[in-house]
Amino acid sequence: MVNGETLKKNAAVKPAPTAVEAEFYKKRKLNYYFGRSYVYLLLLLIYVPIIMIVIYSFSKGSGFQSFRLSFDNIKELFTLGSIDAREMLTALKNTLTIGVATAFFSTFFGTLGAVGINSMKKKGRNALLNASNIPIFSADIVIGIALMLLFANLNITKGFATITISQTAVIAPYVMLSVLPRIKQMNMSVYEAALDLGASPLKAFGKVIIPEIMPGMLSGFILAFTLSMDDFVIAQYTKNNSFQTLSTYVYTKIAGKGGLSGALKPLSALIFFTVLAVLLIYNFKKSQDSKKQIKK
Amino acid sequence: MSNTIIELKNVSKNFGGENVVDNISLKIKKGEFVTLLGPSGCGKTTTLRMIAGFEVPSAGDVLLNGASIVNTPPHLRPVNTVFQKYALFPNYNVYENIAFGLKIKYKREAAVKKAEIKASCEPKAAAEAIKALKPKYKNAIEAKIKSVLKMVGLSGYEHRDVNSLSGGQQQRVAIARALVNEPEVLLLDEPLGALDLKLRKEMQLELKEMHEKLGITFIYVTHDQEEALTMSDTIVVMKDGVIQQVGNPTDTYNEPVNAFVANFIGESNIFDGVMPDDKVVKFDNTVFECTDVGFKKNEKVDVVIRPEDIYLMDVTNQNAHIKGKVISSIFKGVHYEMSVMSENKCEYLVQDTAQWDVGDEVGMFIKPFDIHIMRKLYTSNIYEGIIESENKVAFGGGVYEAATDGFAVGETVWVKVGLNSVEVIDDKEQGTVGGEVTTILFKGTHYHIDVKCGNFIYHVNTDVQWDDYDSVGIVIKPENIKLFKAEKKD
Repeated sequence: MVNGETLKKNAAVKPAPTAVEAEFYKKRKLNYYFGRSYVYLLLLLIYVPIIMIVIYSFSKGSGFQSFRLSFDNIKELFTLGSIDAREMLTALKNTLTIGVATAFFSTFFGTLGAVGINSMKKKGRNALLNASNIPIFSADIVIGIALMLLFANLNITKGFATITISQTAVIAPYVMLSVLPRIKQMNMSVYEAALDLGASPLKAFGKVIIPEIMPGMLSGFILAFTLSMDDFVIAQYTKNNSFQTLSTYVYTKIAGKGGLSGALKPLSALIFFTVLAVLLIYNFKKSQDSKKQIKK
Repeated sequence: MSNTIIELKNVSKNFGGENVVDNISLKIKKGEFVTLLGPSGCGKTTTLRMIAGFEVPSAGDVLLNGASIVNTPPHLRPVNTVFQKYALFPNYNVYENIAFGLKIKYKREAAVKKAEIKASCEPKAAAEAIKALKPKYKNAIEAKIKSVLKMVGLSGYEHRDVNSLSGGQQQRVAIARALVNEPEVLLLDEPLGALDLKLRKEMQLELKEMHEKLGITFIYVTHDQEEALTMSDTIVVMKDGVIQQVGNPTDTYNEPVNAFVANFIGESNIFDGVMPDDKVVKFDNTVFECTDVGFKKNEKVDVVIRPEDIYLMDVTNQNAHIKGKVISSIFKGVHYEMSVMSENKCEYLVQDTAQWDVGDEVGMFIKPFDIHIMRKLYTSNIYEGIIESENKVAFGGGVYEAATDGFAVGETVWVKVGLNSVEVIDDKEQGTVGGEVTTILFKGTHYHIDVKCGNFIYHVNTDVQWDDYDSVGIVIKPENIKLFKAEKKD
């Protein structure tokens, strides 16, 4: 009670800000607004193209010409009225299949690589880690050309398989880097405990190590899938002329001045929202998990 | 049939050029509680891991029931381990953790049974018989887990998440998980190391009880001598990968074979002494009666006296062997722990229930059979050396100046340096060689330390109190280095 009263008294006694102080507060407020608006402006610039795509999905034509409200493009996307739209859908299917295949193989090889590297002695481990960083740091175009020449020399027909193999070669190291920290922080005596209780090395790996590194594998899988979807350079060099992924399809259409389907805009918007939804669900689940961990 | 369940035959394990376990041989009897005891880095855990199968010996053989298991992978050995940090499976609950081993075992058994059933009767009856197998195994697992949980005092914890358990409870789950498989040998790798003192003492007794009840062999690794004394049937004291002593707790405590064991197990006074004759020992400038015989005349020995075996009495008492002055006195609950400085400046550690104050003049009395005499492991440093050039000799990891008259350059020689002739200095770089202090023994008037320089060990008597792992340099004066022809090994 006494404390509260003194506090109140003190508050009442608090003097009005001096001129210097007022100046300081004003400046600080200005700085605050300036900083805020800078961030918003930056975000806006990043998102303008996406916002445009979403808006112009509801407009006539295939480009960003003057806005004329119409649902033709959306209708075309879902009814596949034109040849262009059907071609686009085939390319999308290819992209998604390659994405899943690449993500699967990259996760498989990346995880095995991480497990192997982790159990190596220090010298060999560092050498292999550096070696596996090369595909990450070197330009896609170099790897693309190299693989193209390789397939040509070996007389391998380019297509779905060559793209998947090439992308896996480039993307697997990323997965490895996302799995490796999980393995490093794992208590390896858990693996030994499983062996001790009679599990064969393979079984111990499946029952004990895999569940522990699952989060790393999962985020590696998602990363691999998005990297594969994004890829243009490697796909362009390791595909045949009739095979198209979404990115190479758009490029071919623009380069050949052919009719780019207007349905591309709503399709892009759709992909954007799908990825956004996946991301939101993933993050939500992650925060829920960590909350659960804290509760424990 | 022989009574030995595990036998180590000349086992060595080499890590990066260093023998962590060095040619040890050991027999462990069925049903015994054996403790491998030693300071960290003495090779006790490595020895255990070789029995479990996680390490393969570099040399030697490991036998289980008379058959070599060196080439048997860990998952096929009938031993189970309780790990230092529990190593529970974090993604399973208590029940699933304990059931892990049983499920694998039953799956194997079931596969064999199924094949038998299929071979013995017609398909329809076989299918039904196989169907009946599953609940049978399930019930067996459930019953076993229930009883093992009861034994470790965790009944009703089946569905708890292992991460939600306390350290003590997790340790109990780890023990249950190993015991439920009914192994022939249970290996325990410092299982109580992470628990607090009170819980540790409780668990020690519980483990001992379990051992008595189950009758299986326990091999227990610890660095805690009290734990070893409390629980074991047999204590194996190890140091630097070598077994120092094997014996029951009483013998190990009362009759340590060397100064290291005496110092490591219990508290003790260790002095340098000489045996002028059988049953007579001289240390601290005083002649004592003792019970030990069989030493050479005037052999240099280590003398061990436990602090509780020294009796303090009035300074005027005629029975007193030595007189001294109390220089510190600490109350320890049951007794007082006092340091007494004798007239000849030798410090004694004494435990007595009577209180003496600092500064009191006291007489000390020691019974003959409480004086334990041990052979010295070494009385000087001896190395193989080579004459580098005139007045330079290389040994013990460095090149020293010494009088090399009478020796040719390049000749191999034996080098002898007395324990008191080695100087230890603070600066590792300033010494002829640099190393780390490993063993420290207080000898009443001085310290005896071992300095490890690479692969060489220097034994040193010093007045300075060093700490474990201190980095030090070694200096030896030329006149203190004695060279001998190679064939004349001292």
